[in-house]
Amino acid sequence: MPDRGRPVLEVRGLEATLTGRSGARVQAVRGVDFAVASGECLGVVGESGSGKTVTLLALLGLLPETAHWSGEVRFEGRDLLALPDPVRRRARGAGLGVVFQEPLSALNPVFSIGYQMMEPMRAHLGLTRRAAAARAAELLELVGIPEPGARLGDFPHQFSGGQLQRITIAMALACDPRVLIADEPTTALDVTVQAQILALIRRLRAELGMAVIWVTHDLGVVATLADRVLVMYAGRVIEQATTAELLGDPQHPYTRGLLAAALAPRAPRPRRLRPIPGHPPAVAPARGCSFRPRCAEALAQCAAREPPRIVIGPRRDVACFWDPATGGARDG
Amino acid sequence: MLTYTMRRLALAVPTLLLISLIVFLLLELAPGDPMAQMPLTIPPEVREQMRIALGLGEPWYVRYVAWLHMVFVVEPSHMLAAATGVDLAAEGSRLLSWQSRAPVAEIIAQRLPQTLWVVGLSYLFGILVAVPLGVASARRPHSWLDTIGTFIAMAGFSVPTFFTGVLLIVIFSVTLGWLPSMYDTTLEVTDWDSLRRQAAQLAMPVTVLALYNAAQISRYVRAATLDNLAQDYVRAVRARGMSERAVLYLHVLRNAMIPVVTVIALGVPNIFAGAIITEQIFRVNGIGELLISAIHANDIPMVQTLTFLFAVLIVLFNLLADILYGMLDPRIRYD
Repeated sequence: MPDRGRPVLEVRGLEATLTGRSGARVQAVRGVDFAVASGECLGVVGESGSGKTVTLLALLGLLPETAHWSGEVRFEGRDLLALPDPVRRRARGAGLGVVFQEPLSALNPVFSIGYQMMEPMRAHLGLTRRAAAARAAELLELVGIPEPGARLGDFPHQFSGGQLQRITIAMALACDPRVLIADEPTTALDVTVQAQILALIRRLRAELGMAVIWVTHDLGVVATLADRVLVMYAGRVIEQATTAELLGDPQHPYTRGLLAAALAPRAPRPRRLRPIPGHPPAVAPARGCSFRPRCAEALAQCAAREPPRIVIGPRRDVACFWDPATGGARDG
Repeated sequence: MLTYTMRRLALAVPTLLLISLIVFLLLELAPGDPMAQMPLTIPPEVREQMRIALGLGEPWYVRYVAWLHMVFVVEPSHMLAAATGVDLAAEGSRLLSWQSRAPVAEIIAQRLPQTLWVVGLSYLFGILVAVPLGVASARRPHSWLDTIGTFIAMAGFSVPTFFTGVLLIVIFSVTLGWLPSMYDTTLEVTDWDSLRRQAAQLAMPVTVLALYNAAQISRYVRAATLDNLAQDYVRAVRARGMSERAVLYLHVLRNAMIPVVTVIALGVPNIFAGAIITEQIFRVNGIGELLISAIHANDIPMVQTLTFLFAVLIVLFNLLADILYGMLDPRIRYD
């Protein structure tokens, strides 16, 4: 049984500032904290530009050289960002498996998928070519690629989109990662393939007992897959809850807006979708809550300072002054 | 791939025939008299006799077919005989240079090694400089190394070889006296000393051409590397924990080499043409020098054959570029 209590990956106070081409600086991630335990699936939701992907890249150490970041990323007790580069590379490459959004562009077009799968195994696990090839074929079998041994020599363009995403998942599993990190891996796929990939992830999670961090803007995917959800807005985590709590009793006006804007699958009568008015800010306002310009419930104090994260239950917190239960200010 | 190559080679035959015809007709239209360099004391009727002896009395199509026959039948059989001793006994006279009365093929065979040495070495050195320079420039754009690389590329590209060549002669031959300014073809490499002399006389022409080649190729390498470094797969390879060296020299370079190899292969014929000027400056009696002197002397068989040789090179290296492209990029399959 995987140990569900102790976190395998813990992120504390992660901040990231990106420098644009013109030299303009954008604070894309502002103080993100979260933890994920073995066997747990953490969903990260938010619209485009909310800092989801930058958070992932920062914790993986993959931000461009022009970016600045700080914070602590504890993986199995070690602070990844403080480790010397080769050690961090190895820990990250072997311990954290990453699946990106576009499978075709995430694979090198001129190397066979077998070579690309075997490369990290040979580098991190010290496998021989033959052993790595055997393991690569096993992994392809695991993710449901027919005739895996024969297809190791094929190149990325010879597979379909769904197959490629399975291959990148198999690749992410190559070194028995403790955490599988997926950045919108089903966005580019059609709905049936998406369902297959989700079923695959659920199965692999149960079989291999790894933690999963699933970044998406699709609440439906979160509902079927995640145990716990982080909602991100303008570079911050604004709400954190178990999936059931979040869907049943959303606290932050933004989360409530997201749910109101989504289709309810088993609703008796299709209701009108309610979009959240306005656009997410490119740069967070200097003072006050960054959601305030779009918020219907904004209070006087929301303009004065950014709401801190208020703990409202076991592993449940929200960054908002407004309390949906009373319709007024929270006491926290 | 083999059928594709065969088809391309077969298609090259009519292309080359057409090129040779166009070259022939252009030379036919060009003004000039092969007798112009003869002494003025030769009486006009003797001049006319000499013209007829050169075949100039025949209509152009007869001369063109005669040239084809000599280039494709007579000369190859003589070359084969010289190389292996097998005499096919092809009928007909050999293609002679009007200037020297020696077979064109033999003169070219004498001149080709010098050109191949200079051109080949300069291209090799150019590539050896350009690839690491281009990759390093792309690795850290706008760093001091990239700035130096950009400067070298700009200088090498915009300063003509006849200027850099003369500049090097002034510095290293005239002022310092380290290197010979003229190329000595009679030098045979037999021992260390002659090898050193050969290297010394090759140094300047090779440097001039290598700088020019490196300037072009390094820009292509830099652009292709930058282009690939921005691709998603690079981030994915890094995410898998591969070293920066593997990312750059395996994944990125392998992709960046696809356009670069094409450019390199397509550039080879240009280099032969570009060497003409450099050969003039350093008095290397290679193909380029031969072409220039043949043009001055109205030596039409020589000019025609050399121009045709360049056309063959261009067609062949175009084909080579396409084949290499297919080999480097698995997404391209010709069959």
